[in-house]
Amino acid sequence: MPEIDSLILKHLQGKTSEEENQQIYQWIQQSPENKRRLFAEKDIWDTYGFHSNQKKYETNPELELMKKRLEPKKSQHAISMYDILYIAAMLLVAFGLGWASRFISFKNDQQSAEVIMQEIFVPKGQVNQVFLADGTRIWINSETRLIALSVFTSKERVVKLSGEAYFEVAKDKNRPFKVEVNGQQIEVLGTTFNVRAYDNSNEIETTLESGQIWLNTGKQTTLLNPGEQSILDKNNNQLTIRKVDPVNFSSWKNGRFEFQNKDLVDVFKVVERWYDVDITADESYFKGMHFSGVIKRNKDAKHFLELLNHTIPIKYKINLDKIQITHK
Amino acid sequence: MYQFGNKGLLINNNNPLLFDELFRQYSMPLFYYAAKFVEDEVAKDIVQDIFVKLWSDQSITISHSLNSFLFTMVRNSCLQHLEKQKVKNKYLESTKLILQEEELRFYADEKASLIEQEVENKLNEVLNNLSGRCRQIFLMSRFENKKNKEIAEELDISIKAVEKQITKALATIRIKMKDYLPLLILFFSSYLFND
Repeated sequence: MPEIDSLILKHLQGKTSEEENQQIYQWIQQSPENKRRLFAEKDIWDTYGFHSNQKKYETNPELELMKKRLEPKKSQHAISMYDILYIAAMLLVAFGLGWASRFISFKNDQQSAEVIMQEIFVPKGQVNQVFLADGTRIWINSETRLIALSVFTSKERVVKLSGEAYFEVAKDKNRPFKVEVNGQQIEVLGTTFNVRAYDNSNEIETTLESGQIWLNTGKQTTLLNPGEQSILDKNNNQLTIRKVDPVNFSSWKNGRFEFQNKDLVDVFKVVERWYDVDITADESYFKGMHFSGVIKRNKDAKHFLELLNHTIPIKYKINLDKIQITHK
Repeated sequence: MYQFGNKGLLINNNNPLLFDELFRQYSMPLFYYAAKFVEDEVAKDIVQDIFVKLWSDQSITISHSLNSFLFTMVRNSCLQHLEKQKVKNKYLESTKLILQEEELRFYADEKASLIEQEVENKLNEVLNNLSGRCRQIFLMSRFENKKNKEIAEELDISIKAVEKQITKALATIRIKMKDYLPLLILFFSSYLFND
């Protein structure tokens, strides 16, 4: 089967990585026929999805929801900003309004609720902390997007994550807290845990520090105990659980990043995010090599390079934020 | 809601029942159309926003086809959303966004999606003409929402073979549907403006 055929199919099924998307993009740039083929096939794919209502869209609840919106205005805001304190304040306001509106407008329909989305993006080279209205505290690592979705409904608290974050979830027996990442769902009542789920990585790593959490991979549901770490391989949906010292996996929030025998190529990715630099290295040479050590937020990339030089002899060139690493 | 005049029809909040009917008829196809380019939750919001706008904005007059008007509104909203995402999303999945935008522009160039054209019967006809295995696998994938791996296990064939059959189905349908794909057909204009 030609490579482009399986790439297209993978794209239609929404499973392509950033690299594969780039390949597809290059391919459609080659000719208008390629472009037509891709979008025509995607259209066929999407249209059959529509006719079988694959996404389970329900017209009547949507109509009800819209009618609620047409009632005299209470609160409808789509807020997007980077000021974390401002978000925390707005979350509290929104929570209050959402709570109040249950009594005002949903007299005979308890389960509808307004969905107010809050989105936070932390760029490379930064770490941020945010408080949700329910008292939950979240540390957000570099290059991470967190969407707080329907945190205010009475039934559950849901956030979506792409990247890495450490959660200190406020206890609320009646409203489970859910973390959704691409391919996995975590459900908790009140715990502390770390989730590492970058889109450009093949693994989702969940490390539990205290309490208990339920992991749902769509295929299986597993209970995780304190000191356990699960690793979900996105390629084959295989879940492995091992014992770890959880502190090692959340130390980034205190300005340290600890590596224990980590693949060097993965270490480079972390360093890129952590210090906002671009690293070019001969991957074929460094692949398979492992690194143990600690990098610190208050140091710079050069410090890491020196550290690395102690274990593996390397040469490097720094040009502003571009770093080129070669072996000696 | 439907006021017929020289200029077309005026949609507003004078007739709630007709407005509901309009929502029932259009919201699902519009949602699926939006979901081609943006995430499901965003797509739902976009459809809602459009109907809220139709309801409250007395000044909208639709002079051609209601159908193409609504689909164009969805497309513009999606484009705005993608533009915003691109600014925010400097690092993450940037090519995914570029591809979504390319796809949107593909439809903006006067090419209507099959969803917009409502050609279900034709689609089913083409589907029925596929060979048995090919159709079975395509149906399992698209209507039963099964993963390639699950289909492979169930039919005791390789995942590659499953992929091959789906690709074959798509190519066949694309060729059979070629008259429909690049055209802009205003199905609804005829009966909305018949007086």
